[in-house]
Amino acid sequence: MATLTDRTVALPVKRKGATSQWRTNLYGYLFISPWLIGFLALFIGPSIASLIFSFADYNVLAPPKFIGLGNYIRAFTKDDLFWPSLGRTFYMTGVAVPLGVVGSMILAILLNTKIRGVTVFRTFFFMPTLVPLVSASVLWLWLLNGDWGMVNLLLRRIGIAEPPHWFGDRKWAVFSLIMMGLWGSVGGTRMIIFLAGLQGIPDELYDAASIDGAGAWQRMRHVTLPLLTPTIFFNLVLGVIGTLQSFEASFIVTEGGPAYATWFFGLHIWKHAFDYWNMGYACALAWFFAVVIVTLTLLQQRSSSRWVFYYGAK
Amino acid sequence: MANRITRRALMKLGAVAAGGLLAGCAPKVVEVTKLVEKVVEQTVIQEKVVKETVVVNPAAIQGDLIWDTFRGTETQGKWNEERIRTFKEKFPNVKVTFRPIVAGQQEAYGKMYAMFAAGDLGDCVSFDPGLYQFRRAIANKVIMPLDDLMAADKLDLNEWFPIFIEMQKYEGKIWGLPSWGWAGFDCMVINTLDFDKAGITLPKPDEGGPSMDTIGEWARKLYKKGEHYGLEMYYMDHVLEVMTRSFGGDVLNKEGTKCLLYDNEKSKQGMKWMYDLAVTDQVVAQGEDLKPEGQGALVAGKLSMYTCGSLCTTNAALAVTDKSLCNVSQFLYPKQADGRFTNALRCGSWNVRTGSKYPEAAYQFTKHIAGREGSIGFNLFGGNGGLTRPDIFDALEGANPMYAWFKAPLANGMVINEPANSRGTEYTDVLAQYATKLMDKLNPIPFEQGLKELNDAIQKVLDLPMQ
Repeated sequence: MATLTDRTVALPVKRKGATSQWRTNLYGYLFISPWLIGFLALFIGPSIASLIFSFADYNVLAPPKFIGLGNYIRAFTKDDLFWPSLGRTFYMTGVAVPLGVVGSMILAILLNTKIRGVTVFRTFFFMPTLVPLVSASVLWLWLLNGDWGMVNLLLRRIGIAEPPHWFGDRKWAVFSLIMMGLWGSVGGTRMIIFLAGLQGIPDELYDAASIDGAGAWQRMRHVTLPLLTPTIFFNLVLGVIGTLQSFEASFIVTEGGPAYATWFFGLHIWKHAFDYWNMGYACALAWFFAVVIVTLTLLQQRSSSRWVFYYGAK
Repeated sequence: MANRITRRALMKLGAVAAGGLLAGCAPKVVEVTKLVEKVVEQTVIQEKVVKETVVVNPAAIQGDLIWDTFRGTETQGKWNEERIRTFKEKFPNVKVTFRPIVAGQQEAYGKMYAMFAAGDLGDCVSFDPGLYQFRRAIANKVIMPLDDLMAADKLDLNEWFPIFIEMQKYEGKIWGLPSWGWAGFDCMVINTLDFDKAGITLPKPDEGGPSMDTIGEWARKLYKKGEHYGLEMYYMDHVLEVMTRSFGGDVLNKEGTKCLLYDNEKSKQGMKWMYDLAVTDQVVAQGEDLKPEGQGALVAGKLSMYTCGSLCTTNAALAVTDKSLCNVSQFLYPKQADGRFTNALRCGSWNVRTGSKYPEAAYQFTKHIAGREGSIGFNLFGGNGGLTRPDIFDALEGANPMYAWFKAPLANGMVINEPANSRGTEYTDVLAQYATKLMDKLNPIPFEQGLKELNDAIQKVLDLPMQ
């Protein structure tokens, strides 16, 4: 009679650890594959292609022709708009970012107070962020019209006989764009991030400061601001990166004018890429600008050790 | 179930039957009668009608064409679909698929370049000389010459105004047929009510206009600070072209290799005329002064005249809602010494892509859309201005009598001079930005300095290699 032992077959021993790790990894890659494919095909691939094109004379219609550093040399030595547009962009960033960060911070501090209807105020301040840029551009074109705009009508009422022509004046066009940008951004995501940062400051620190006799300004100076520095740093970095890449507002509102007054570097790249079809040259400009932005970000990162304080960090 | 006739079997049977029917049809000879355009002698227009018969065997022409264009999309493709339907009636073995390119003009060319680079551009396309895209498309072998196809077809190019056919030519060959076309920024679009109130007698809308000094006086007379502008000007290439031509000069030389603004005294005179009005006397609306600008300001009674063209006149007339505020008309600029009207004729081009599998079918379709019926529809319900043929004016005038004003300037005008290196968009940007700086009344700069900067900036673009 056959017994169980007769029919016992020696089965191979599974190495559970290696197979399950491999399977776990595989599932992980499968789950991130949609993003990974998009990242490789739509970001890394085009980035590598643009780097290659930056060393070529390429107008899309004909195959690219390798010219070495020709595009970069042209940018630094022959392009009349290269340095002015770069300078204009840095000027815009140097003015808009500090104003925006400080403005958002002050707004967040005000909206962090426990008063009645504070959520309504937060909503109102956030609403300009929700207005599409094109609509906001049309709105501000009307508001800032030199002859009939509401802003100048009010300015004339308070005694300013010759108010600026805003977008129509070379000297005021950039500032007008800064104003428009601040209107849309001060009460927006940056303010929300500051609010989150403020609400992350432990109350006991304020209690301790009060017990020690600190007034409102001293609590602000010695508790709020130091503990808000990580948030300030975060918003500063993002603000610099975002403002340096300014393009939409000048493209929609002023088309780079009047007389190149709002011809920023982002617009300069776009024009060469998609209007003039100097695609190789535009790629060179874009890569140069990417290096500039990365360098600035690294410099900010390095400087942060001197003024950014992380609560609880050793 | 095994004996059931399947759908696949039925379709095969149907295909065989249809094939048999087609094979049994005798080739149909199509008689095409054409009208030859009016021959122009100075300002006298003589009509000459010739009947010419061309024999075409439409059944022999086969193809599966793709038509890529943004022209006609403004009116939801009504004209495009009509052209395809009527073409199918004539050429039953050619299928045409319309692929609308939804974009502004310059963006649309960009899309077409990208499509060409990707190998996806349609057979029938449009690269317009009037918007500086023509020579680039030829130099990069995007479009093919049509001389051989036209010769085999015995096409009579006299159907179109000669000047628009000239614009289809490059390096001794002809590369397309005219699509849109007009006389450019050839007139001041005006509100006659303002002139009547000021006691100014206007010339007829289709004759040579008053002197530039007179136009300048009118602009000063009709200006009321803070209330009303007499004149609005735009500082773009075609406006500067016409303004400098009004003084006998030009912006570019005929070859498109040299900027004439600073070295040519007559061109300089034209620029000085504009500068005096805009900067010295500050009587001209520009930039953000008027909102809405141009046509909107005119029909609202806030502006007496603005630099535009004949098609703007018809559009402005249609936009008038309150006749007590505005009555639209136009006057032209002073004629040239040789009798030509001072304008800057521009046009588009219907082309056949290089490498099309069905060049003859594509050519026939191109001829169909640029023909008389196609051009009439292009104007009346296609959302475009295609005043390229004299034989369409009877139909256009029936719809709007204003079209009668445009015939003489079209027949006897001046073509635009475009940059030889095809860098049209760089040229127009540089011109607009530096001209705005020169004419900036808020931050005035000396005329000589501003004009030199403008001239040198344009010359720098002209000196770049062919794109």
